[in-house]
Parts: sequence; C-alpha cells; structure tokens
Amino acid sequence: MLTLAIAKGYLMSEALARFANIGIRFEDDLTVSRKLFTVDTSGQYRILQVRPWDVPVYVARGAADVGVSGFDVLEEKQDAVIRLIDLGFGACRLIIAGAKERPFNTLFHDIRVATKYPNATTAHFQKIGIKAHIIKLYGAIELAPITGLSDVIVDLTATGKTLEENELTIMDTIFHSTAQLITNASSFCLKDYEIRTLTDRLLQGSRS
Amino acid sequence: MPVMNLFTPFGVSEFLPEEAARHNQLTQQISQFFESEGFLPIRTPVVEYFDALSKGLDPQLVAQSIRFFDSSGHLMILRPDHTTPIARMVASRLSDRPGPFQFYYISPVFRNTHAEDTPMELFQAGVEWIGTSSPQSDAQVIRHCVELLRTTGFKEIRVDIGHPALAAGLKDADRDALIRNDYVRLGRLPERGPIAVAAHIPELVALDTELHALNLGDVIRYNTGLIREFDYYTGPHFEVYAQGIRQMVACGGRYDRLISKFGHDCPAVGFALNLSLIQEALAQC
Repeated sequence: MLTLAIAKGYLMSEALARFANIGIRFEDDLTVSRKLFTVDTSGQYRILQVRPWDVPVYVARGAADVGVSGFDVLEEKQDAVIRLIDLGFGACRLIIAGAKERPFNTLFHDIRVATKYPNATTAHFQKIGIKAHIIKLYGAIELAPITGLSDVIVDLTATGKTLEENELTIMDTIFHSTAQLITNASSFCLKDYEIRTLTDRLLQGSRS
Repeated sequence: MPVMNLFTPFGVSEFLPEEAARHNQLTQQISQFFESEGFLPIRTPVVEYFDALSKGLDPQLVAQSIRFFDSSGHLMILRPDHTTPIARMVASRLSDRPGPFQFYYISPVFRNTHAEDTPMELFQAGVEWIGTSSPQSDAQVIRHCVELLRTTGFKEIRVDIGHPALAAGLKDADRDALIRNDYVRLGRLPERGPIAVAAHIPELVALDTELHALNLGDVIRYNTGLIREFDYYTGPHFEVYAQGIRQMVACGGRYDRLISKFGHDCPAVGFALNLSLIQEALAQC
C-alpha cells in the first residue's frame, strides 16, 4: 500500500478529483469528514490529510511514501524530497507587492519585506543583489505595508484580488507555483513500481 | 538559582547499561561477520588537522563537518567519515607495505546538525578494500553490505547502482536537476531497472555478471538518475535501502582517486552502513 500525504484544502479537493478520474475512490470524503486519513476501495492507497506546510515533512521522513504539495512550499522548505511530476493544478505565483500610493516603485537596500516565505524571499533578494530585511509573518501579510510594518511584501497570489482590495500593486513575480507529486528516496527505491504506476496513471488521467 | 541544564547536544548518544549491552552485541555480531570475510579492524583518530584531512574530503562533508581551533590556533576537524582518514593513513603509513588491504571499522563519525534529522554523532560500520580494482571486488563489497544487513535481521533489501559515466553527455541543467532530485525540471523519471538500462557502461555490465554469480540479481537495480554532485566515485557506486528503515541505510562504491590526493596512488572500494538507523529500527521491532 502507498501512503499519500495531501495538503488540506484546495489541493486535497483537486487531488481527489484527479484520483476519481483514474478510478481511485476513497472510503471517506476527507473534504467533509473530520477524519484525517482514509483508504481507497481497492486497498492500494491510503491518504493522510495534513497541513500544506507539513506535506514535505511527512514525505521526507518517510511517514508518507508520496505527497501532493505546492511548489511554493517545496521551494520554501527545501526538505529532502524527490519531485516526481507536476500536477498542473493549484496555480498561483509568489510575488513582490507594495502600496499603490508609494511614490516610487523600486527595491532598495535594507528594504523591509514582510512574508510567510523567508527562505524563498532571502534567496530571491540575494539573486537580484538587494539586501533585504525579512519580517516573518504568519498571515494577513497585506497589512504590513499599509501599517508601515514593512516596505513591501512577498506573498502567494492566485488572482491578485486580495492585493487589489488592500490597495497593493504587484511589482514582480518570483516564481509560478503548481502542485507537484513528491516522494522520498527510500519509498521510491522500495516501492518503485507502485510509485511509477501512480505517476503514469495521474499523467494519463490529466491528458484525457 | 537557575535550573541546571543537563541536556546533551541533539543527536549524540549516551547508552545506559542495557542499551550499551545491546549496542555491544550488535557491534560484535558485525565485527564477527567482517572478520569471517577476511577484513581486519582499523581505527582512525576522532580529531584531525583540518588542513591534512580536507585534502581528500568531499566538499559536502567539509560543509557538514565540526571544526574548531586547538590551543595553538590550528584548525581541527572531528572526523566526518572513515574513508578519508583511512585513505590518509594508507598513504602516510602503509604505502611501503604490499596490498591489498581489507579493513573494517565500527565507530561514530561527527557532523553538524543543521538539519534536525542529522545526528551529530552517527555510528557507522563499513569496509574499505584497498589496492584492487576489479568487478569482482566491487561485487563482493555489495555482497558484504547486503549480507551484513541480512545478518542484522533485515530481509527486504534493495541496492540502487549508479556510475559516474551515467552523467556523461547530460546537459548541465539536466545534471543539476538530477542532483537536486527534481524530475519535474528534468521532464521525466530516470530509468531504474536491470542492466539493460545501463548496458552502454561496460564496467556495470561486468559488475552485473559478478552480482548475478553471487545470487544478488533480485536485490540490485541500476538507477540512471543516481548522479552525485562531486566526482568522489570513479566507478560503480551504490545506495542501499531496506524495508523498515525510512532512509538510505548504506552507501558505497569505487573511489580510485582519493588515496592519491594524499600522495599514494591506489584504487579502492568500500561502503559505510548507518548503524544508528539500524539500531533505531531494531529497537522498534
């Protein structure tokens, strides 16, 4: 049996839809039930519903063989996982945004950046040669520039609507993100056939 | 008065008598196995001069190593592996003796715990077979590793075999994607399977014949994605996984250029087994 860790929320419902497409159905619907795990009707797959940030941890440490995680989380956390295929859903991007009424729209040294993604942000600012002061927040990042906590923010956006409503404007895109199927070296070695079969089925399912 | 902190650093081991007894039992079992296969024990220093040892250290191991200054200001290093100090010993003290040498060790190595799952003190058991270069010795070393795992109670064992020649002709971007295990960026899953996937590498074909003669055909597979960042290995190299252990339990391969970095040209092959993982897995069953 393969154990899959899947991010709770949008990625879970999309993943379940993809599984249903290729004929994998689970005993409990984790999107409505309070259960945190369930097994499919064929007994081949068990899914765990975990927090998005925890998916690579379950996989890297072998508590799950396979995971469905956003590219953004993988880039930020850098856990030791193997990235198998892109699943195509959950599209969004990590952007730099600032207040609309800001007199200038450029980045500068010692800029204060509020974000939930300190590692990805540090890596990006290093790449473009700007010294950034990172302020780690856990949510409602949009408030930071409005309240003067930071100069800009680095945040994930799908439609840009929340940014718009909070009078922020996108200055740059750091990366585009979609859900990826991941595994760990041990599971991929010991369950090579099962994991490749699942990968092939999911790829075929998304093409048809 | 502040509460006295009696913690030890993360990832170092202290054994109470019953744990020490279990540990000794395991290491005795392992040394008996190695000696029955003709290996002799060797001991390397825990602390070395960084300048001397680093001549042969993989940059990745240097980055993980624990370094400090002694009272005269020399940069010191806690041994981060056994192979490098053994190579230094062979070059500096055994170059006038006729080989080949078959050494084994069962001792800890020390690494920084920047990742929360890397222990600072990691027990390793391994062998170095120095002075021969043949598919037979490569195959024997793989057999020793598999049999050692079987001896300690693991049944379902898989060995992934790679070769530096697998990276030949790869575009830089693809090589980089493989090193990072990013098959999404690579655009495909690397092939893993019987010798057919690596039939263009004569050294692996010769090794495969030997491994089949040793009845290891079911245990081994060739992994075309097994690419290493630094060219430490010069021939076949392998990673070992076992049911019940969630990480790579052993790795090894042929490293014909390492000892020459210390001034003595001599081929070698070996493996190191992560004894800490074995102990953890055995304690759980």
